[in-house]
Amino acid sequence: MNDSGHLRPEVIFGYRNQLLTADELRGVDSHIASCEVCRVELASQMDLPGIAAAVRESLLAPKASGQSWIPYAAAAAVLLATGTVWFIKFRPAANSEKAMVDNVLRTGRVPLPDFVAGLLPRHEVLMGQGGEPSLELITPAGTAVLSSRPVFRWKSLGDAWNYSVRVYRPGLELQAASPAIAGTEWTPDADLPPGIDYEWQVAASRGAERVTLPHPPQTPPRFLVVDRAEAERLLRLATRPSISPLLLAVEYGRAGLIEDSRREFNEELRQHPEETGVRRLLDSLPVHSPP
Amino acid sequence: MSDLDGLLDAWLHCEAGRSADSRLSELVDETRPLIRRVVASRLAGIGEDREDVCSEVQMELLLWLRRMKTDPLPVAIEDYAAYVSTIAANGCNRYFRRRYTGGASVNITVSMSAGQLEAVPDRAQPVEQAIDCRRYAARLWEEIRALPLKQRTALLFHLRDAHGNSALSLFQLTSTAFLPAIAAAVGMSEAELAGLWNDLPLDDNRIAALLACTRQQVINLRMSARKRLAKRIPTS
Repeated sequence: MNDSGHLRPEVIFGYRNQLLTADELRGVDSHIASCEVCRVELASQMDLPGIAAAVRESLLAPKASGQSWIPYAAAAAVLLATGTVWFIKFRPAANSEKAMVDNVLRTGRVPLPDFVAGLLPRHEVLMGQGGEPSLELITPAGTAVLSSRPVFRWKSLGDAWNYSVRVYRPGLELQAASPAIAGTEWTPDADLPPGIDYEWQVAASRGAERVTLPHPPQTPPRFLVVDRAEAERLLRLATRPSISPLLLAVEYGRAGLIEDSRREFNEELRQHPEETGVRRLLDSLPVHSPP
Repeated sequence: MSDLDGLLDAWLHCEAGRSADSRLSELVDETRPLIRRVVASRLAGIGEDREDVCSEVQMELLLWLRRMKTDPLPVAIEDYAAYVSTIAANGCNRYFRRRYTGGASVNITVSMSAGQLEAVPDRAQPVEQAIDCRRYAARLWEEIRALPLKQRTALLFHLRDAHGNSALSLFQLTSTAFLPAIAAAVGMSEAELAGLWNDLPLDDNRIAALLACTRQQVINLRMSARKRLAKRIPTS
């Protein structure tokens, strides 16, 4: 038990996965017989309705031969169509944001768009051989960005180095390039077309020395500029006077803006450090750089 | 002795209390990169669930580490990194089993350090679903208890969810029946049932051995139980 007298997360995990010893199992059984909080938590994590549905299904009497699936399919189609019309006409808006955040807190995971996986380093292998995320190029990396002119930041290699940023479209087609600069950040002077995922590199030079960042075998960081409609929607949301960092973090995450989402989760935690559910969500965001 | 072995040693030999928590936290934090490497290697090409699998492995590791503290292993761990690698590999295998048996991706992410493990769970299933599950489980249990002992046993030990895991937790999680009652229903002691819990659901040969009958008889017993339940609980 933890200090609050509830099951520890690893014990819950052990129960879910049938990894407990006999004594531990008896302890859990005895505890959830009297602790509704833990029983509800276990039910939530183990998808109790799913278990009940599977049991119902397994205990159905065998179907008579020749039974047709067509009436069921027709009924399902009617229900689906009716439901779709209802949803389009009467889609509830007032509580949808709260319900969405509650749902995300319940699942412990921000639903990220599929493209995020494609922005993360593609081939991670053991012993630091090949395909590791970039350590020198800091941002943007493994995330979508709102601005079509994102700020590129990287680590300094030391004194007297000059840097030149190159931004590539898929197929290594050069989209933008900076002049030689002495600092460690750069903002493009033209928009990057939205809806496209990019890779970027930095060519560093000091006298005759030439270095390309990231160093192999690290892979160039990838990012995506979200499309304009989505960017406008998120900007309207972000400028709403009473917007909570938590809602914003979830919305950013759903749009694939991992870095922005992380920033807002941290802000929420700064305001409410006791929120362990928020900490779980923050920890569930993909990490581009190794720890 | 490696740094990790030293941290393990420090955790195993420290006094219980806050400092123990912080040693455990440090040990888990230092182990995380190793877990990530093993999982990344095993799940190469599968990026979407990697973090979740790492979190699961970390949970299992915490379970073992706390268990070691309260119930020391008869043989000391000589190579903690190898030990962790094995747990991580097992976690990946579990993930692949779920994946190949039709299970969706890992549906929870519990990524906490040991220092954050005092969370009080506070979330609930939607009320209607919970009531429905509870009502169904209670009705089912009532009917199962009315079955002959061998039919009950053949049915309960085979009961499984959509992923092939035992579904006996349905009765615990709905407060319908806990270990003592389930054990009594299958003619066992609570300790006996707890001892074979991790093997559930049992295959028919093992159930046959327990019931001292043939595998075909187990199948027939279960079929009879299902027919009776289907008749008695029409909506099931």
